[in-house]
Amino acid sequence: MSPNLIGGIVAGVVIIGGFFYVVGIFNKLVRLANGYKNAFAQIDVQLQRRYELIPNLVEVAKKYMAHERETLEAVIHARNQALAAKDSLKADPSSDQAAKNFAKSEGALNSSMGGFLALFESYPDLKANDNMKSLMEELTSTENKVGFARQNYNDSVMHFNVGIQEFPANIFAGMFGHTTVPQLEIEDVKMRSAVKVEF
Amino acid sequence: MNFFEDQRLARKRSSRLLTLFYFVVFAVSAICGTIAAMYANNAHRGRGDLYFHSLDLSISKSVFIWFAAVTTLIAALILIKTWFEVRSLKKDPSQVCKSLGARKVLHNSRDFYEKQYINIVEEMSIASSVPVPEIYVLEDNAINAFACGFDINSAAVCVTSGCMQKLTRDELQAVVAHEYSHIFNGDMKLNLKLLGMLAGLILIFKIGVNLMRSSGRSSRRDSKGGSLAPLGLGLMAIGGLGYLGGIVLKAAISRQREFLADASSVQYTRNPEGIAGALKKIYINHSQGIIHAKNATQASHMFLVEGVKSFFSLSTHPPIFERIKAVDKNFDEKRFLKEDAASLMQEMTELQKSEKSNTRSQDERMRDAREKLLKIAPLFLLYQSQNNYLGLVQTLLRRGNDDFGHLSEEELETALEKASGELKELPQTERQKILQEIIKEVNADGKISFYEFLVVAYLKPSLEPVKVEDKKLSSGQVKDFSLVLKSFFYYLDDNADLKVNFSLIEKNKLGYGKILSAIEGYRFSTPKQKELILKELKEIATLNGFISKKERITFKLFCHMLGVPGFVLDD
Repeated sequence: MSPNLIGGIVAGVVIIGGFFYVVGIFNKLVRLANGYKNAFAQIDVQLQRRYELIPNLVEVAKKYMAHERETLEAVIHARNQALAAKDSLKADPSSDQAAKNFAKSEGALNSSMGGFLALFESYPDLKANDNMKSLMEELTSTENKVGFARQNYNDSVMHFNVGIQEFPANIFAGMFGHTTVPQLEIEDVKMRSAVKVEF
Repeated sequence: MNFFEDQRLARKRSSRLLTLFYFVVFAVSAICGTIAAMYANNAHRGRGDLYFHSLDLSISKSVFIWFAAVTTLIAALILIKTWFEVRSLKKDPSQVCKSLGARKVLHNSRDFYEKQYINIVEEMSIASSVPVPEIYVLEDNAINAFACGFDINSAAVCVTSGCMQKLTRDELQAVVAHEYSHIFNGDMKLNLKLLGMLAGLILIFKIGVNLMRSSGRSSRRDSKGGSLAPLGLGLMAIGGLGYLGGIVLKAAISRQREFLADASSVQYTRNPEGIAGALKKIYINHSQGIIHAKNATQASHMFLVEGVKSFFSLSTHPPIFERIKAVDKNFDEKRFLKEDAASLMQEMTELQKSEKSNTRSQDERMRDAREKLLKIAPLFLLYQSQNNYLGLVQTLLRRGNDDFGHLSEEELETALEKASGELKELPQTERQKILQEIIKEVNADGKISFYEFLVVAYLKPSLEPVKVEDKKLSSGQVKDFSLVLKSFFYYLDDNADLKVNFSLIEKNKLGYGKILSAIEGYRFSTPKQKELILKELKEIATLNGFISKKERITFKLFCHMLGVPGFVLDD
């Protein structure tokens, strides 16, 4: 074999290998991006579930808490705002402004729910209501699910961001149209544990 | 704790151990190859022994070929054995759970604590992005849990009732998260692969034993045959050593996977106190930590903590204190035993005493009563009292054909009718699941009995609603279908010597699939055609002078399927 031929073969192998390597990077980034988008969809599902659950809860509570109309209305109002903010974030997940708006309205909903639940503590009849009890378990679980979905989203975003910043993927990430994605944050640290259901 | 780092470490360690395991398999093969090569070399020198003689360079090529061929052969042998072993051990997750005596938790369960358990499972599904597995409960006072299944799309988790009673919501969540990690990381598959390779290694040992025996026998007959004995001994030694090494490595790997699962539990719940609390309670509860269910030994690797005690076995799980320390760096063994243990004990009894346990223990009492009743009362009454006919039908399918025969025909009919009603009320996905389960059960023994056919035929319409006016049948189809049905009716009773006025289809050409499609096809026929076929079937049923239970129930079934419920078969 002539040295030229060997050189040609080596160069060919390197080029083909390099090509597959880049394809591998491309696929990995697509997988990571789908991962975080899917994770966002999960948050969406769970938030929706919570937004649907809250009116039910308020409905049952109304019978027992007739004098607390203001609190109940505040909860519903906050819920509607959060719903709207979520929809606008859904339309454009990479927008910083929408993410901040959403975090703010979620925080407001959490604090009004906190107020509602604090009131709830002082109505033993309501607490003992079977219907309410299972609604509360549903709420606890849905709150958890929202939290876990958010956590999963942040984990996936983290993996995605690390994925596009790592060498050598960072060379290609821009070319494939990937930019870092902000994580979801909750405005006030206190609000993280704002809704707490206890028996 | 930095759970991502801990996970990385555990993954790294277990993959190193796995590589070592593969190396053991390769080493066993290579040593066998070396022995073969030595044989070839020594034989060439005219010696039938296994001492080291210098390599005869003139035949070095053939010695090398011997080495390569035998190495490949042995490795292939081990891998083939592995493949077969994995195939035979691979069981459906629901089957594993059932064989341990676990009970499936229904999605629409009304029990508050079962509902909570379902919620927790769903939460962990979201946290780990694993689809929701099947959910089971094992009635056992121990605090333990396990997961099974071979990929994330078909898996099951099971916790003991002790888990539900003695753990707080957060702790139960951590336990479920731990099991999710096993699902997510494919630990069940890994374990199966290791078991398979162990079987391959022990196969080499067994081949050695057989060689020794056969050479012992043949050497008695003729003195020249003794040369196989050292070969057998060699294989025995290599296979045995490889097997022992494999066992040690397998145990070490599964200990690493436990650490991985604990770290993942913290990742999913972001709450190290959950898993630590559960482990502490398990420690305190230790005497009861042993699962008593039969068949539990086979499944020992799956449990949250060592679930089964057996003499002479290496731990598949790390010691509990080590695991607690891994998630809680401040954990102090002595202080825990002196102070915290008592308060935890208190907490457990309180949890058990609280409202939670009241509903649970009432539930348990009911289940105890049910167990006792099962022994004395007919199944039908039992399930009737619980209004769970679908459960009855499934139990009967599981038990085999004879139990169906014990039901009276009214009971059988009620059971099928109500079960089909129960099915209709379930959501579509749940319905599909149950149908699949039923079909699995029906196909379990490879053939379909009359009663199994009956169940499938009865439940199918409620699973797959069809618009009746959609199709029209040609007269040829009607004729074919009616022949099938009539022949089927003819064979229901032993009518062998009775004459009929239609061309009977031979019995062995009449499969249940054919019958089912015939009756389903008839649903699209005109009301007149339906009336006609029912009349004709009635005639066939009364051919031998009496109407049997089978005939009556089948006739009812056909009426039901054709949507003509008014017809009754009378003597």
